[in-house]
Amino acid sequence: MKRKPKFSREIYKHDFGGNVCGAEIALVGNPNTGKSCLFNQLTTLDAIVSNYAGTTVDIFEGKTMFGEKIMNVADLPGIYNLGAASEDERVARDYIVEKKPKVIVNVVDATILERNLYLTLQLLELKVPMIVALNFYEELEDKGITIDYQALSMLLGVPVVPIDALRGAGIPELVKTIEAAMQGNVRFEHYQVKYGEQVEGGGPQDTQIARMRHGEAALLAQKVMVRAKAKKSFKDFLDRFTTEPFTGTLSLVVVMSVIFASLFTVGNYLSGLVGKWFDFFVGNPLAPVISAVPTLFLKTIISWGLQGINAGLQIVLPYILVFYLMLGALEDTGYLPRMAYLLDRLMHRMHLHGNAIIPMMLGFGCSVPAVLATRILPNRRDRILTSVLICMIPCSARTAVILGATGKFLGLGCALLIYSIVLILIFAVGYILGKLLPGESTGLIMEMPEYRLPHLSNVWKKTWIRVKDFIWIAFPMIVIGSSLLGVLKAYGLLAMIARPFAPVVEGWLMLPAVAGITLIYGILRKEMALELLFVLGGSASLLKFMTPQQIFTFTLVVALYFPCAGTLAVLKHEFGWKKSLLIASFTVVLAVLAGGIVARI
Amino acid sequence: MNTNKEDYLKATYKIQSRYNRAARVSELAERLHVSNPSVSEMVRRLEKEDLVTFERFGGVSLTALGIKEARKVIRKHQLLEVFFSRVLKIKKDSHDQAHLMEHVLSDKATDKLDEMLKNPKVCPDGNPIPEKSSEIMELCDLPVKVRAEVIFVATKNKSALERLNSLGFVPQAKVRIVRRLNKGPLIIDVKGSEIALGPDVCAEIFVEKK
Repeated sequence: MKRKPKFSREIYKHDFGGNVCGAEIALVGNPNTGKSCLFNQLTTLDAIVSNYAGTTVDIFEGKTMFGEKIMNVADLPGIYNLGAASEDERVARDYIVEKKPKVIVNVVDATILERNLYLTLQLLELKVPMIVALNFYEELEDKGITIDYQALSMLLGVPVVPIDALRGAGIPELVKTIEAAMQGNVRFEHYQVKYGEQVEGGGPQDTQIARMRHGEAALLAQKVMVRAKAKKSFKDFLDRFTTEPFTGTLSLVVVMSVIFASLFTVGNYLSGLVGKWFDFFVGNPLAPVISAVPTLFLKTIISWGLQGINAGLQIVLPYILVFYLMLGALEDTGYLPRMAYLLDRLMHRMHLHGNAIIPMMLGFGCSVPAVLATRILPNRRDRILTSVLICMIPCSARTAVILGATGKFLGLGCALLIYSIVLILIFAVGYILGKLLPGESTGLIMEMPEYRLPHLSNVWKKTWIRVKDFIWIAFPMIVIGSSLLGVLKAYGLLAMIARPFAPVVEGWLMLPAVAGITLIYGILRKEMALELLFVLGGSASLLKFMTPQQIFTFTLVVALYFPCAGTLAVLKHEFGWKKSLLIASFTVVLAVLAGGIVARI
Repeated sequence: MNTNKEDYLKATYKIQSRYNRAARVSELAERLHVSNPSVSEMVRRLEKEDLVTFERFGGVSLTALGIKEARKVIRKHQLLEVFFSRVLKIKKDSHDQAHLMEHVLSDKATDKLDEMLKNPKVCPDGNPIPEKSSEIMELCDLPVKVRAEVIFVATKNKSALERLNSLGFVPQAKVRIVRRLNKGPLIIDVKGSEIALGPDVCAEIFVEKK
């Protein structure tokens, strides 16, 4: 039932104030009801799908074919009501109110019908043509629930279509219904909640209105739903096991250990393998060709560019790949919100709440989506504080540096020591900054999703989306950067560039001059610092030109200093120049201080 | 407890359960037809008796004890209204009469009235009548697995209130604590979904044990 993509696989982020035209079809619903999954089904595009509230924090628009017509479909962040309790909710609400989509597809989690109907009733008040897509319909059986969706359709006055967004069941029916609605062939009789005269004063978030709407939702759910006794399932046991104080903490430790152990072992193994293959298939066959190149300039560019590719493939890709595969699986199970729950108390020490854990966990992958994910936090203060901490969290590129430099040459123990130092610094910064930053912080309010088995194709797809970014953006940079470095070195210009930084790099951090130059490159992308260090040092072993202590210092500085160019851009986008530059300078100062101290121990 | 105090508690209760937030001094003044300074003075007295908490910018919020006292008066009022309409068959003035009598009716007489009227659940205008022996507490003090009903949320944080409202933590919503960490967050079953709430959030939700 896959619809053939007839258009370029374009997916553009919707930027408010930009002039992207409003979509004809908007997918609206509570968080974690499968809107992005349905979006992928409708458009054959790749929005990231996970199992926790707040995976989508921005608006994604894509095109799809309906009959002969091209339609714009928009995937909105999940909302509990048309309000603005957090940034992602505000983004979604503004879109619905300002862009006025022609058809709303209200994606509803059938297993939590009553709560979901609250938003449905509110959307009906907009009197826009609307279709209710009842997702997770196939899970109802396990829970001993039956829903008469035709009766629901009669009551709401809009079409209701049961679907399974992940496997694609019910999508053809949904598409037909959307088409009919677009052509004006569906009669809508939007059910309206009668608030009566009891409601006085107050805005839309008035408790009175909320109460009545919840009351109506409960009545409607009661009318169409039959609930038998649910059987005790393995899911319930797992849920219990991972959230009870003792077993929960235990499983948290196990999960984190498994992630880092496999990063180290599988990552290292893949790294070695890729290195061998590269030499065998590319490096060795090309060696005579390169030496035959006549001019020094060309020769330098080719050989250094090649070394850059080698470094990128060997040092960074394996770790990033392994990490994202595991993060993807973890996201799909629904474990992340449990982590937030377990770590709520710890986060209080940093004057934050458990909900900040999700963006921070994403930060272990890449800081850019992590900073965007802070939109799920209820206020600006929490967002900024969390973003500062995210900038310090070792992302997969930095993990590659930590494991590829310290881990490989000084052993796993030293790599773990770097991690511990970084985590302690994060905690200390959170503790101090949390006290200094003004503003009251809202407590943890977070939905616990049902545990679900990770869907292999989805995990793989997500990993590909994330790694693809790395390949398209990072590789050209590595190749160009490396070639440029080669040319500079060949013409004796390197020392000149290194000189102004010598007091800090050589004097204070006690690193070799070449390391200073790679640190400048690291501003573009963190892993480039290490890749180019190998290239510049002219050896596959750092120990040939650096002492163990220098490797350690270098790694720590790379892990902490300056959020990379991409992160700086997203910080600027979210918080403005002033704050983002402040955050960047703060991390530089911290890195130089920490590095200098470590260099002297 | 004197008439005046009971009226203050009742007014605060009504505002809180209607808007799910603390009552402002000006709101109380308007409702009770008195000046702002006299409200402030009374609130300070009630605070000393541990019936309310008061924050200069947050407003007046009932304590569990305050809620209990307020509900006691409301119960008397509503039972009297039922009595007027059902037994005496008078509609006119019944509210005003009940308003005066609620302060003098003894607890024992109230129970007898309740018995005679066969435990009515709602008063003539449809509002639920508070039960006699109800245990009122903050959500964080509710034992695990016990069912309860939300009385109101007393948070001063707007975005938290909005989120709680849309998740279903509205007056009379049924809740149950599924699990909890020591002094940490709780997982609460509300409207068929499980929501994790921080201990600070739970301390601002008052519930009645069922």
